[in-house]
Amino acid sequence: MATAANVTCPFCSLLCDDLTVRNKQQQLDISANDCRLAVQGFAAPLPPAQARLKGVPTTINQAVTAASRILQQSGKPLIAGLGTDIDGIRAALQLGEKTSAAFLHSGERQATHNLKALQTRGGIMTTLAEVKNRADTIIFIGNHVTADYPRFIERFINPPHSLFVEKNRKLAYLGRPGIKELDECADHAAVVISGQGDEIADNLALLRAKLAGTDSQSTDISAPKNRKLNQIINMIREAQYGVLVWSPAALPQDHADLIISSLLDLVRDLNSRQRFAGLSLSGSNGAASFQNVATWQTGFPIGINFRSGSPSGADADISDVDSLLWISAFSDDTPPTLNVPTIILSAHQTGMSDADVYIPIGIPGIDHTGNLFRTDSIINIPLKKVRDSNSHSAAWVIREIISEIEGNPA
Amino acid sequence: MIKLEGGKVYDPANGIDGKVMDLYIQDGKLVKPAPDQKIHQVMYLGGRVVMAGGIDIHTHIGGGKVNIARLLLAEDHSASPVDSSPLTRSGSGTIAPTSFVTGYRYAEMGYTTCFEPAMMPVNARQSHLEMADTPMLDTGAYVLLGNDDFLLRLLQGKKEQAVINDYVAWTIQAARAMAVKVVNPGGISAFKFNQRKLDLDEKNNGYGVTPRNILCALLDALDALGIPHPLHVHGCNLGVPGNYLTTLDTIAAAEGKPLHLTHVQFHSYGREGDRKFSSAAALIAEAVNRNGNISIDVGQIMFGQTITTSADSMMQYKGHTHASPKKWVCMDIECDAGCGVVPFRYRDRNFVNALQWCIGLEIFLLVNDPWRVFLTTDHPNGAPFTSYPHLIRLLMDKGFRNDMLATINQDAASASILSSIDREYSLYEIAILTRAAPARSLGLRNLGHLGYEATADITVYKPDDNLEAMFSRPEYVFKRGELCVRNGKVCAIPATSSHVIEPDYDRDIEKTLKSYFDKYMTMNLDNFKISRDELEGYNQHSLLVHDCINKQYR
Repeated sequence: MATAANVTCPFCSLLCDDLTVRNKQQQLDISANDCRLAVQGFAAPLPPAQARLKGVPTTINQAVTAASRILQQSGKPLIAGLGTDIDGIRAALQLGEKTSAAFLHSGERQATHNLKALQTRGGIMTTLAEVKNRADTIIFIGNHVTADYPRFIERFINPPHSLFVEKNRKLAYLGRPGIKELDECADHAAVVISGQGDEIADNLALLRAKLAGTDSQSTDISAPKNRKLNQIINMIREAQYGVLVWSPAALPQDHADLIISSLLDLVRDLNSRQRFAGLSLSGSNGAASFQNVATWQTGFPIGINFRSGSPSGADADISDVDSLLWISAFSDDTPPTLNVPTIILSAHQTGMSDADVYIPIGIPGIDHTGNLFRTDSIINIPLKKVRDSNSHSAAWVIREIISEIEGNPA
Repeated sequence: MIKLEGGKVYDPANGIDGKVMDLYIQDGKLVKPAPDQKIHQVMYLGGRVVMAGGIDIHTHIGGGKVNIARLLLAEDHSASPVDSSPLTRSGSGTIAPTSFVTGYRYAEMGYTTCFEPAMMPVNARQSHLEMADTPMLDTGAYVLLGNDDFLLRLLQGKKEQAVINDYVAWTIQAARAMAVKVVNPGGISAFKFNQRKLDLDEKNNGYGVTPRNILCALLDALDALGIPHPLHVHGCNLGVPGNYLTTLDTIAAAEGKPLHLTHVQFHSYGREGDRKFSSAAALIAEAVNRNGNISIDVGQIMFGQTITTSADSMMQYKGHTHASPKKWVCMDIECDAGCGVVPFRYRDRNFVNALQWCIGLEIFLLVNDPWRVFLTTDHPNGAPFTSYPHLIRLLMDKGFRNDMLATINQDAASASILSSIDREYSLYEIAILTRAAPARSLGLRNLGHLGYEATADITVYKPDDNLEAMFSRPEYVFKRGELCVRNGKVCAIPATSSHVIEPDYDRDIEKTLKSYFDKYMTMNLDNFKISRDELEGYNQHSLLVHDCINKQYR
C-alpha cells in the first residue's frame, strides 16, 4: 500500500492540497483532510480500459480515427462538459479551432452570472489567503453558500492560525445558511436575515439604501429585520477588512445577475472609506481553468465558438449543432441528448458506453498529473498522480484526434 | 550554413554602426566561417538594415492581471478577430491581444524576446502558462517582491540581511524568474490596511516598515546575490502630480547601487502651472544623467484606447475615477500582492494626457546615455506594444515629432520644452535602446548583438523614409537562425525558450518557509514552487539558465 501526502483534490475549486491518500491495489481512500466531495471523487473506479464504438469494444486508435471522422464530417460541432484540466482545455480549444466548434462548459450558466456582472462593471475581489488571514467580517449572500465547497469554513473562516484575525470573526448571512455551516461557525457572532428568492435581492437593496442613508422611513420593514439590518451595518462599519462571499449556484437563479451586480456595487461603494472585497465560490469541474485559458487564447471567457474561423464570444445556437464531443473527467455526468453523432471522453462509463465513440480518459489529479485554477481564479495548483491506471489524459486523446485530422484532411 | 550577405549592420554591442558586412548562421548561432566552409544558402541583403532581434524589457504579456484586462476588453476582441491559418492559431484583440496573437505581432515587428515585468509569486504558474502559449518569443519574467507578508515580517522583525537574501533567491527560483521587481514598495500591502497613499518614508500600518526600508533590503539582496538585472522599481506615488520628488528621493535611496526605474514617465510629474500638473522630465533626466547606477524605461503613452494593468492596487484604485469605459477591477491577492486593471483612453486634446505624451518624449530625448534608457510603452499601460514603430519615428524624425506636437492640446504643447529639442535618435541608438542595452542590463550574453556565438535572432529592415513603416514590417526575422517572418508576416513557428536565473541560497530558509506556509498560506510550499521539469513540460521548450554575477569580477 502506498501513501501520498499533500495531494491536491480536484473535485471542487478550493483545490485543497493537504490530503493524504492511500492506494491499496489502485483503490484509493483518504486518510487525512477529506470532505464529502473528495471521498466520493477519490473512490472513483479505475477508468475502463477499452474504448467503444456504439458499445462495441475497440482499440483507442480506432476510436480516435472514428472520432476524427465524425468531427471532420460535421460542420457545427459542439465541445461540451469540458470537465478537464488546463492541458485538456488547451487541447480542446485547439481542436475546436480546427473544427469550427462551439464550446459549452457544464458550469457556464453559473459562470455567466459572475462574468456578465464583472465584464460590465468590474469589481474589487480578494483571494482565499486574504480571507483566512485578514477578513474579520464576512457576509454570505445566498442560500447555503458553501454547500459545494465543503472545507471553506474549516480552512478559511476557522483556521487554526491567521496572520491578522483573532478567533472571533463577525458573520452575517443574507439568505439561509446551511445547518453544517451554522454549526461550524457557532463560535463567531452572526446575524442571519433569511429569505427566499427575491427577498435576498430585496434585503440587499435595503442594506445598500441604509448604508447610503437613502432608505425611506416609510419602507415596510418589520422591527426584527430592521434591527438585524442595523446590526449588519454596524458590523460593516467596524470591519477592518470585510469580504462578501457568494456562489452563483447558491443564488436564486432568476436574480443572480442582479444580485451579483449589486454586490459588486456595494463593495465598490464601501471602499470609498474602508476596505471590503468580494469572493465568489465557483469554477469547479475545471470551469475556472476553462475561463482563464479561453480568455488568454481567444479573448473570451465563455460563449466561445469558432464557427467563422476566428473566435467569437457570442453564444452559438446550441440547438444548431451536428456533432457533440463530451469531456467529463471529474464526474459521471452524462451528455445532453442532442440526437447528433456523439463522442464521449470520460473517466466513467455508466450510461455513456453506447455512444458513437467512447474513449476512456484518466482523472487529472488521480490518474495523471495536471494543473487547475482555484475559485479565486489567480491561483493555480498542480495535481498529482496517485494511482496507475494506464489511462490517457483528455489532452493526449484530443491531440491524437487533432493529429488524425491533420494527417487525413477531409 | 546560411550567409546573410551585404547588409548594413547596426550592432552597438560590438561597436558596429552601419557597416556593410556578411553574417554567417550555423546551428542557430552567428559564427565565423571556416575558410573551406560550405555555404548552403545565401541571402543577399544589399541596402537592408540588419539588427539583432528586438528585446522588450518591460511588457505585460502574461499573468492574472493581463487576463483580467482581456476579460474587460470584450468589445475590442469582438471587433478584432484574428483567423487561424495552417501555420498560426486564431485569437483577437488590439490592446491586450490574446497570447498567440501577441507572439505573432511582436515577431512581425522584429522582436524575438520579451520580459513580463510583474509576475506575482503566487501567480507565477499562470504567467508561465500564458507565456508558453505565446509563440515566436523567448520569454522571462521578473518576480514581484516587497508587498509580501513574509518579507515585510522579516523587515519588521529586523532579521539579518542574509535571511532576506536567502528568501529573495528562493523566491526567484520558486517562481522561475529572471529578475526582481518591486511595485509601490509596501503600498499594495498598506492598501489592505486601508492606507490610501504611502510615501517613501511613511510607515505601512501593518508592519511599521517604510518603502525605503523595503527598497534598501531588496537592493542589498540583489547586490549580494549577484542578480544581473538591477532591482526593477515601480516607485511610490505612481501618476501623482509632484511625484518627481519621490523619484529623485528613490534615486538617492539607491546610494549608488544599480537600480532600474520603470515607466519613469508616470513618475516624472510636477505640480507647476494653473492645472497643478507639469513636466519634471528635465529634472529626472538630469538625475539619470548624473547617476550612472540608474537605468530607466520610459512607459511612453500614445493617444487612443488602452487599459492600465498594474500590481499597484493602491494607485490603480485611486485612478479608477478616470476609467474609460467605466469598469475596472482591483484585487487583493494572497497576502502577497494585488492588482488593479483600469481601462483608459488617452486623449490628445486633454491637457494632462497631451503633457504625459510630451513628458515621455522629453525623457527619451534628454537622457544622454542610450545604454541606460529602454524603449517601452509599459504595454498596455501607456499604449499597446504595436505602437513601437510610431514611437521610433517620433524619436528619429524631428519634423514628424513637431507635426504631431502641433495636433495635441496646445496648452500642453506650450508647457513642454519638446519643440525646442533638436535631438534625433540614430539607427545605431535605436539598436541600443531596443536590443543591445536590454540584453546587457539583463545579463543576456548571447542576445542583443550579432557577434560570433551570439544567438542568431536577427531582424532585417528595408529602409524607408517613413521610419514607422520601416519598423512596422521587417523584411526578414530569424529566430535562432530560422527564418520565421518574411515581409512582416509569420512564415514559420520556431522553438522558443524561457530565460531564468538560479541564484544560490541556504536551504535552511525552506524550513522557515514551510512552517509559514503550513500555518498561514492556502497552498502547500511544494505546490508553490515551479520545478524546471514543470516549466519545460508546459512550455515544451528549454530553459535558458543565466549566470549570476560572480562578485570577484564585479
